[in-house]
Amino acid sequence: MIDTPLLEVNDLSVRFGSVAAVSSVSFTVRSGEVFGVVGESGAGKSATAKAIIGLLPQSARVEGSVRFRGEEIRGASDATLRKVRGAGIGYVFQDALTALDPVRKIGVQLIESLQIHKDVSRKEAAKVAEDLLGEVQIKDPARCMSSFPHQLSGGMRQRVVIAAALIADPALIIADEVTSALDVTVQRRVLDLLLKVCADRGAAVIMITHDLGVVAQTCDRVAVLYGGIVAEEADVFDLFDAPRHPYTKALLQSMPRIGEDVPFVPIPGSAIQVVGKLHSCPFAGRCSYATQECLVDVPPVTTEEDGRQYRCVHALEPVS
Amino acid sequence: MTKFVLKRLAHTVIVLLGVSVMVFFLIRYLPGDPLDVLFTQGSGDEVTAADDLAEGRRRFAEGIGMVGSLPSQYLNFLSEIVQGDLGTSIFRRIPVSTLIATTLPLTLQLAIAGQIVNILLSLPLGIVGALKQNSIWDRGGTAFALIGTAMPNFWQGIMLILIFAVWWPILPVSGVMDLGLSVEHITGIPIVDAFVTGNWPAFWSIIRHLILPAITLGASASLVRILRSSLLEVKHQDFMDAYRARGLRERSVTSHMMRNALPTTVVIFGIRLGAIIGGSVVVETVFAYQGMGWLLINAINQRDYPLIQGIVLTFTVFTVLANLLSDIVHGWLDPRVKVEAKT
Amino acid sequence: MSENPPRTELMGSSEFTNHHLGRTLEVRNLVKSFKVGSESFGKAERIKAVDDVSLFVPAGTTMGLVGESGSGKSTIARLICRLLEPDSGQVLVDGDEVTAGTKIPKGYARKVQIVFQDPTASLNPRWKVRRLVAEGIRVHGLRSRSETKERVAELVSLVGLPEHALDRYPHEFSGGQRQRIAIARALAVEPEVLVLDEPVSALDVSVQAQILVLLQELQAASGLTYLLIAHDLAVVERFCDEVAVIESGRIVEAGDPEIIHSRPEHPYTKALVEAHPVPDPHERTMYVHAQDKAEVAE
Repeated sequence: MIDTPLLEVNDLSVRFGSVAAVSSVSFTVRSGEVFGVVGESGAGKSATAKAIIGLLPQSARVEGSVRFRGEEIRGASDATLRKVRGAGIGYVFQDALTALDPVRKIGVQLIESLQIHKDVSRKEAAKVAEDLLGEVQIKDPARCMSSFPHQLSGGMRQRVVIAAALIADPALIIADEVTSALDVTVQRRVLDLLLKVCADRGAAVIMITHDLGVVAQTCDRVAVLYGGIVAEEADVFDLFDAPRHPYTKALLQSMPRIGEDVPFVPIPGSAIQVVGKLHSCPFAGRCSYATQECLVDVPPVTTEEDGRQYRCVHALEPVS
Repeated sequence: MTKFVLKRLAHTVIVLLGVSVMVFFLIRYLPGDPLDVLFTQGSGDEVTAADDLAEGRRRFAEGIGMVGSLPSQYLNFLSEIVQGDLGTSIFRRIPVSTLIATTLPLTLQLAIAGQIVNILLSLPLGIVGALKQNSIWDRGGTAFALIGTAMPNFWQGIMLILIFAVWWPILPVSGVMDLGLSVEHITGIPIVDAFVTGNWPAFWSIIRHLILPAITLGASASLVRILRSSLLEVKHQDFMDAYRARGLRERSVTSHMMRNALPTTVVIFGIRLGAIIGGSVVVETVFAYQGMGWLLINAINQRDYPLIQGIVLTFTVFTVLANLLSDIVHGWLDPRVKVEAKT
Repeated sequence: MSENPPRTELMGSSEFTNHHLGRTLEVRNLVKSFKVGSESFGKAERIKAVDDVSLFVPAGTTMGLVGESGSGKSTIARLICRLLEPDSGQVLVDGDEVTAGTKIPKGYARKVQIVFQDPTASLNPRWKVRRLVAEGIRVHGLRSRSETKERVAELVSLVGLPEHALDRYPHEFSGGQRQRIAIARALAVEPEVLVLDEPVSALDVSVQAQILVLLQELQAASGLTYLLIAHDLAVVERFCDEVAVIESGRIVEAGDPEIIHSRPEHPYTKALVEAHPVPDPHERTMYVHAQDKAEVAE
C-alpha cells in the first residue's frame, strides 16, 4: 500500500540563542504505533515535541521539516497550524495542574476545544465531552464537567488533560512526560488508560519520557536522544536486547533493576548542553569507546537493513 | 458568604475602634487649642472680659463635651458615635454629619474620575506591555508608570495647573464648577445631578473642572505594573500553550489570559481604591476642590476636633469597605479562592 | 569552643576511614498528626501522617523506606532530624534518646544529617561551596580555622568534585554535582546517621547511579548508617539491606529486600511491585493491549 507516514520529522533543529537544543533530528511515526522519545534532561525531547506543533517561544529558531500526513507544518500559516493542532495532533502536557485553565470549568474548556474543530452545537459538544470523560474512566462525568480543575485529584486531572487532547479526535497524541510527576500506581493506571483510548481510536502516540521502564512497557519503536541528536532509533525489543549505541548501553546499565544482581554502572560526567553548532559526537566526553574520530564531526547516520539507525562510529556489535 | 461578610464587618468595627482611639488622642496632643482661637481676649474692661471669656469658654467646652479627663471625653465621644452622632463642627457650628454628607459626594466623584483615568491608562499599557514583553511599548509603559508613581501628587497637580490653566489656559484652575452655576440636589453627586436634570452647562463645567484633578490622581497609572506582571505570570503557564495546542485562535488565548489575570488585578485595584480616596486629600487641596479631603485639611488647620474625627472615620470606613468588596469580587472571579467558610 | 573540642581523635586521618563508625538508629512508636481544614471555624481535623512507626537500623547498614507521595515517609525523615516535633514516640541514635516533648540532647543535630531531594533548594545560592561545606563545622565548633579549610578540601574531593569547585556557587553545577555538594556538607559535621530523603529522584538516570555508588562507597569506608527514603522500588531493592514499605503513615511490610523482588505479602507492596515499570520489553506485564501487541510481535 502507498504508505505516507503519519508524521515525518526531517533534519529538525532548534536553537535558543547560542544553545543548540535539537540538532538535525529525523524520525517518522506511523499510524497507530507508540513511538518513544527517550533521553535525559537537556537531550532535546521537549523541544522536539513542541517544535512539531509549533509551540516553541518566538525566541527559538527552528529549522527543518515536519510533515503531518504529507503536509508541511513547520513554519506553516496560523490557519494551517490551527487545523492540525487539536484535530490532527493532540498534546498531553506533563503537569496536569497547570495544563488546565484554573478559572474555567472543565466542561466549558472541553466544549470550546471541540467546537473549534467540529461544527456541532453546544449540546452535542457537551454530550461528546461527557462521553469522553466516561471513556477516560472518570466516575461522574456530569459532575466533572461542572467542576473547576482544582476540585479534582491529581489522577483525575491527568485524565481530564488526556480527554482535552483527545476531544477533537486527533490521529497522533504527543504525551510529554505525562506520568513523571505521578506515583507508580497512578502512573500505571494513567498510562494504561492513555494507551487504551489511543488504541481504541487508532491514534498513534509519541511517548516522551526519561524513564526506560515506561519505554519498555509501552513503546513499539524508540528514538534515544542525547545532546540534541538521535543517538539510536530501533524497535523496542532490539534496543533493549542489543543496543548499538554506547550511550544506549550505558544508560541501560546505569539503571538499577529489581531482582538482578548485576551491579549498576554509572555513566561518568553529566548531560551536556550544546553551545554553538555541534561538531562532534555529543556523548564523546562520557563515552568509554570514544576516540579522536568521534571529535571530528557528528557521526553520520548508519541505517541497517531492518530500518534500525544509529549515529556512532564505534557501534557495538549485535550480540546473539 | 454571609458569614464571611459578617466576620469582615466585625473586623471593620475593630479597625474603626483603633482608628478612633488614634485620631482622638493624637489630635489632642497636637499643639494648639481650638478654644484659644475662639476665646481670645479682646480690648476693653479686661478683668470682666477675661472672666466672661473664661465663663463663655467653660460653657462652650461643656456644650461640645470638652470637659473632664481625656479618657472620659473619649468614652463620651464613642457613645455618641454609637448613637449616630458625630458631633458638631467647632467653627462652623454645623453637624459634622451634614458637612460630610455635602463633601463626600464630591470626593467620590473625584476618586471615581481618577480611577477611570487610571484604568484608561493602565489597561492598554499593561496589556501591551505583557503581550509584547520587552518591546519599546513595554519599556515605555513601565517607565511612564514608574515616573507617575515617583512624582508626588501635589507637584504633579501644580505642574498641570501651571501648564493647562496658567500658560495655556484651556482648563479652570480650581473649584468644582464655574461660579454662578448650580445644580439641583438629588443624589448629592453634582455630575450625576447635572446629568439627570439635564443641566448641560453645569455638567460640562463640572467635567472641565474634574479633568486636571482626575489626571493628577490617576496618572500614576498604578495598575500598569500589577496588570502587566499578573498577565505575564499567566502568559507563561502551561494552559496557555495547552489552549494553542488544541487549536484555539491567538485572540481567544489572549482573552483567556486576561480572564486569568483579572482576579489579582481586581484585588490590587480595591486596595488602591482606599489609597486613592486618601490621595484625594492632597489633590483636593491643590485644586481647592471642596470635597472631604479639602475639608479635612481645613479642619486640621483649625484644630476642629469633631470634624477631623468624623472625616477620618469616614475615610476608614470607605477604605475597609473597598477592601472587603475587592475580596468578595476576587472570590467571585477566582474559583480557587473560597470566600465562604467551609461547610 | 571549649565544650566542643575538635574531634581529631575520631577524624584525624586525612582519609575518611573506618575510624568513624556509624551508630544504630532506632525509632519507637513515632506518631505525628497534622491539622487539616480551616481552624477559625472549629472544623479542623487531625490526620495522622505518621502512625505508630518503629524502625531499627543496625550500625553501618541501610534501611530503605518506600512508599508513594503522602505516605508519610518524608515526615518520618523530618521527625528523625527533629525538623518536626513528634506527637509521641522516641528516636534513639547511639543511645541518645530523643523523646517527644523533651529537649534535644547536645550534639544530636550533628549526629543525624539529612540530604534532601532537591539540592537546588537546599543549598544557599549566595554561598560558595567552601562556605556551604564549612558552615556545619563552624557551627558545631568541630575544628580550628586552618583544619576546617583542609577538611573542606578533603570532603569535596571525597564526593568526587574537582578542587576548583570550592570557589564556585551552587548554580554553576549540574544537579548531580549539587547533590554531591549536599552530601559533602552533610558529612562535614561527622554524622553517624545519614537520612537520605529521595536523594536521586530529581536526577537523570545515569547520574542517579553515580550518586548511589558514591553513597555506597562512603558507607563502605566509614560505616555510616543510612535511612534511604525513596519511591523507586528498584533503587531501594538494590541499595538497601532492609526495606520497610509505608502506606498512609503505617509500615505495612518490612524485611529484607526480597519482599520487593519475590515475596511481597501485603497487598499494597504487591500493588507497588506490579505497577513498577520493568525496563524490559519482554516483561510487559502492565499494559494489557501492549502485551497483546508484544505477543503479535513474537
